[in-house]
Amino acid sequence: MVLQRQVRLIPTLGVWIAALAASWVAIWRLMPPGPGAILASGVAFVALYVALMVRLGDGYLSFTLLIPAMILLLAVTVVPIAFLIYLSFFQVTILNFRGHWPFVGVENFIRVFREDPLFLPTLIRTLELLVLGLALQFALGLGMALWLNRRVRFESLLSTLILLPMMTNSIVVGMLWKHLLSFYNGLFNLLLNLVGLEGLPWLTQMPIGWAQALPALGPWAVEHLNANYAFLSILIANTWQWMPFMFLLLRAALRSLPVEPFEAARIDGAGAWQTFFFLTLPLLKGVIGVVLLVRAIDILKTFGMIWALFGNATITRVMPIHIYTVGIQTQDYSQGAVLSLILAGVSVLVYWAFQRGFGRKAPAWD
Amino acid sequence: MGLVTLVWVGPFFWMALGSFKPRESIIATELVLRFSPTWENYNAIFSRFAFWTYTANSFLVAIATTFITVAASILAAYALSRYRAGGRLFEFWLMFTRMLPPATLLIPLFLIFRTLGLINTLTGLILADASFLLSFSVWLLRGFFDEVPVGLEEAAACDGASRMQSLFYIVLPMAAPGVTATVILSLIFAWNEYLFAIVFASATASKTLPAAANDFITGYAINWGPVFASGVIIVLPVAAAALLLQRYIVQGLTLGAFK
Repeated sequence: MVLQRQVRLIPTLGVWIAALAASWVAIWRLMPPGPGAILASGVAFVALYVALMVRLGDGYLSFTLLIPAMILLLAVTVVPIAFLIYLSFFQVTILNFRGHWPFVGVENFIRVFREDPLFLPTLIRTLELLVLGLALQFALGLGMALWLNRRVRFESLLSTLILLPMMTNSIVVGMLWKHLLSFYNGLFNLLLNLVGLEGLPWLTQMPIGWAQALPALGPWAVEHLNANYAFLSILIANTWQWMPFMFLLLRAALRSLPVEPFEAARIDGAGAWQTFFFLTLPLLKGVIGVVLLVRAIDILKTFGMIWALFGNATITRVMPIHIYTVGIQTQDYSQGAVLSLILAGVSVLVYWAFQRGFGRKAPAWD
Repeated sequence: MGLVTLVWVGPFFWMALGSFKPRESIIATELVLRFSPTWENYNAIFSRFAFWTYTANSFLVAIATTFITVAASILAAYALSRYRAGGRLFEFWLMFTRMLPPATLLIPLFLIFRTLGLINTLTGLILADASFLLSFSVWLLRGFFDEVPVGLEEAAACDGASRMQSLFYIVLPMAAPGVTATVILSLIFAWNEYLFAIVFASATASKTLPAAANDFITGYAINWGPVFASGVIIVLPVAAAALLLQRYIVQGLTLGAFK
């Protein structure tokens, strides 16, 4: 029965797809490429789609309703990803884009590891930002959620104000911090001076004093693990922007926890720390997994804030900035494609690790 | 909590203050709290740069992106919510595009858009933004649609309503707060989008506000007055939306993360 219905859909759908293809080919033949042609294609699609919906009625909604989303995803994500993979096996730069594309196999991948001195430090920096940023934001967010768990006056207003940074453009966040941390008249150093301390060289590649002073590990951390003020500044700005997100979601989760287990624990004489580690944390496990995953994915996307702070300075580059510099500014498309695939792979790995670790479905978060 | 909030609001306040400071007060090396307020920074960005164009572009991009995304995702979310439609591949792909850092598609999209003549137009930027927002708004809307009782639609079907009628006359009105939340959040995301904007639409005629604001800081000497003024212009609509529509935003964010 179900199969029969689907089979009957095929001819109608075939005609429809042919009509859509024909109209699009006609539009792109007749009109010069550009926004006009796209707009005409969009209008043709909407007209044909309405016609299809009227023709099929309620019969095949489970499929027809998905068509607009599918076309958008196909055009702007599936095709580009296929193209990305294709590019990574050829040698394509601005020089030969309109000419012959030599096939080089995996040579591009080898080149990234062998000949790009910035690749590994950039990857390490990206992962380091991921780990440290997550840890810092989670610890502070959870601490604050536990501390401010009771209800206060004007709570919804205060929650909104606290949300402001994460609703703010990352470029603006970057410029704010660039000014706040400015060495010679930033608010931070002015306040430090006010209490009689020396200003710190924020936003510079100066190594962090106490980290460098660590025996043996210190110089190595400065050399390889970004123990400098520039990276610290990025961490501070990112934490400032996103810790409220952790705080609000964890507080909402804390409040929705059942009361009974906590009463039982109290009656059984559990201490505050015991209650926290053996009751609160396990009960929150699912939520923690979700907020960590959301933040992890988002940290891997970080571009604007670091771009506003440092541009494409090599010492603070993360993967998205490296991709932009290599692929768009230098116009080495194949090399950029390989870097893109590596970053996509890292995102998938992170997602997979959280799935395994916390066993929750992914959140609906961009 | 009030004191804690200051940590997050303070910098914005400092920026707003800075946008009204004359040049001498901004570059002074001590804490300047008393100054004569001036509009010179705002005058500068609107008269010396095409800020009206950038503002109009930003609004256009945000509205068009939201319109395309929300229209496509209302239909898709309804199918997912009522028919469990699409199958594993579609769900996987939605999830995948949600995780994918936008930077990874920068190069192929740039080359495709260049071939199609869409570089330095708003059209390409809108298309790219719309499809990156799609998965987020589909999942958000699906969660809201799931909460509308199916019984209502069955009753409507008995009275002879088609599925599309019941989507538009029953489900959408019932899920109005959720749709509002989705619309507001996608407006904000599209308004703030930066990476695609500088690559696909960096010409003066098609530049958006964040890209224009960044132009002030990449130079050797940063002219902070105009930087603050443009920052205020970028943050103001978002802050207004956050204060007026806080209920929807908090709801959207919480549901968005947990559904």
